[in-house]
Amino acid sequence: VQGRKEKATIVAADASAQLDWAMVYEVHGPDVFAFLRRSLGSTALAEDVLQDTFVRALRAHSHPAAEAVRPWLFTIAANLAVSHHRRSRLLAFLPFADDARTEGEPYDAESEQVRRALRSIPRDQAVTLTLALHEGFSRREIAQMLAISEEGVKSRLARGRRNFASAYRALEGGTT
Amino acid sequence: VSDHPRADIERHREPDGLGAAERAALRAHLAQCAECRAYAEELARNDRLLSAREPMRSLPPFAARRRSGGSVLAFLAAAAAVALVVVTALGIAREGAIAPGVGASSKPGTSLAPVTTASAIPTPSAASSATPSIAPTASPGSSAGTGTLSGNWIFVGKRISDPSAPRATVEIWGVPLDAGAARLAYAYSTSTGGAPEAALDSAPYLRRQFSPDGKQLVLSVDGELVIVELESGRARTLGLAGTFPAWSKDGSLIAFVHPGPVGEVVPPPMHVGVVAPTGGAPRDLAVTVEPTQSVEWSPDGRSLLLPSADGLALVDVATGRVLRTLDRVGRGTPAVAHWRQGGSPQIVVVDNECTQGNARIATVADAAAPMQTLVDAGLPCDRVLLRDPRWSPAAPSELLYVRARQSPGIEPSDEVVHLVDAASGRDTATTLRAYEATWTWSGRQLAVIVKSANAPYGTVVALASRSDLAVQRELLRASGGAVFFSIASVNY
Repeated sequence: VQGRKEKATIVAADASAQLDWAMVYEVHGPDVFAFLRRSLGSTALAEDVLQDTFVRALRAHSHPAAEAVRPWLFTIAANLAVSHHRRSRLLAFLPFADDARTEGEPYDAESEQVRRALRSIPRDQAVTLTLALHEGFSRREIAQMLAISEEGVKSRLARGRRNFASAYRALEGGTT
Repeated sequence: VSDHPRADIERHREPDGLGAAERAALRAHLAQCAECRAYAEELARNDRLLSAREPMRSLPPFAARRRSGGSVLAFLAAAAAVALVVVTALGIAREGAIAPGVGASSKPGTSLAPVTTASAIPTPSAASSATPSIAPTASPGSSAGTGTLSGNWIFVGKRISDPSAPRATVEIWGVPLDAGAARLAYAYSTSTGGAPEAALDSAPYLRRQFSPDGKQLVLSVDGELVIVELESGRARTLGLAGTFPAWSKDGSLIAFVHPGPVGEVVPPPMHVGVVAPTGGAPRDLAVTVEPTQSVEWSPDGRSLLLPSADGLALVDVATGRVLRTLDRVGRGTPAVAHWRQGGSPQIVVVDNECTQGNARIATVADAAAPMQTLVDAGLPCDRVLLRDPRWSPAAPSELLYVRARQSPGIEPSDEVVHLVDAASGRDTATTLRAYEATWTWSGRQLAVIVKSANAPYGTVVALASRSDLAVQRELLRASGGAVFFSIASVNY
């Protein structure tokens, strides 16, 4: 939490009346990218949605105050992530095999397994779980972001946990 | 399993998920149930896994992408003026230094894009140009065409993925049922990954995309609307960015999905617009909540069904007014409704929202009548998926649909073709396993994409007898990783 406040301050200090988009991207881009990569399960897809997130943010008629930029960007990113792939039958054709690592890049097998499990559960649940557990947003914040009720968030978290457990178990057993 | 309070264990992961009494009861149960303790520990471990930070990856340059093949992504086609500013700024960012955005002050050592002026920020009036036009281009695909079309043809979509890129070749094949060999009607390359508008229409739902005479087909090729003359193979773009097109049954309009006006951010809106098949200015009708579904037109072309937040909305095409909403159906699968000319009932829909407890097939006698349950699937929507109901063109009370099994975390499986007698409500599971199915025009046969066991879609297109459901002949077979994804029957 402290880190987030510091980031907000950096942006605010450099952008009194207007946002400094270079700084916004530098400061918040990595977090949004990590969130998207985890909840979408694909680096290439996360890159595209990240681009789309910032393009939409740039195009917006009005921008939030500097301290609200982070949740605002996550709101855009989360909604894009949820809405992108409702047609689940296409998932098998998306380029998920493109997560080849470049030389020297850290590799975390457990994290890869988590991404694979998240990829196989309904997208709205994966996004909600990631917003809550990976990004630390409260239920109220997530409800505002996704334009659903707090009860809806609770329900998605419960179903998400159940489905994630089932998917992760299947991966551990090598049956997926 | 029902004796174990799994839902309570899941809810207990949230700080206020359970009340005091529920917490006490759960603790008591956990004390004597090893299985539930193991589940609680598993959920706790999973929360730790989900909370662990994603390993850092280098941030990609903030640059708009162009896919190989040169087609402009649909979302960049929206709002050309703004996109120009953004792309220009991003182009500089790609070189390594991120340029200040619109209206930002210059920083030492940072390149400035030449056109980043405050006046370039879109105004509300500029933003209203929601339907993006792009310069018409030459035909993006190729084909010699089918030659003269007559009798009953079965058309199927075939996709061959490119293993080295997020692209695929889509081929539209036609098979004359009377005589003659299958013919390649049209082929094109399309994106299968990347920006959503480009990625999500690479397996078009063919039934809705034919002109009323069946001799033209509207497609979305890399996010651009293209009309193909099937007999000659000639194609022309409409100069519009759009996906999931549907040709009205009176032939006068094509409905399509496209990103909403510039400036609307949350939630990302997708609009349904209409345009004449000859081109010209498009017109926005409504916002859809399922950006990956085409609309179902009424037979007279005056209204259409599209997924709205409240259900399947019946929209008046002339005014854009929502005339009524059919419960909360219309979600979760590309094809949820079929509206036929004449007959009663006229409309059949699948309810995958379980508004009445279970998944179901429902009918509506006409645009004003109430919904009636025709088939109760007997299972909730997280266990079963119903899709793609289609009326028989020959038997007034008969329809087919595909029923698939669902389980958490896996793709739908065990697809089975069902036949329903709308008069009696009798629902018959056939022996046909198919991803998608349709009727021959006589109603005496079914044409099906036989579902592949371990892959999405199917690799065989076959013709089966309606009477005994035996497969009579194979129409097409795919190999080398190619798949068939959609099927339609057209009579000439």
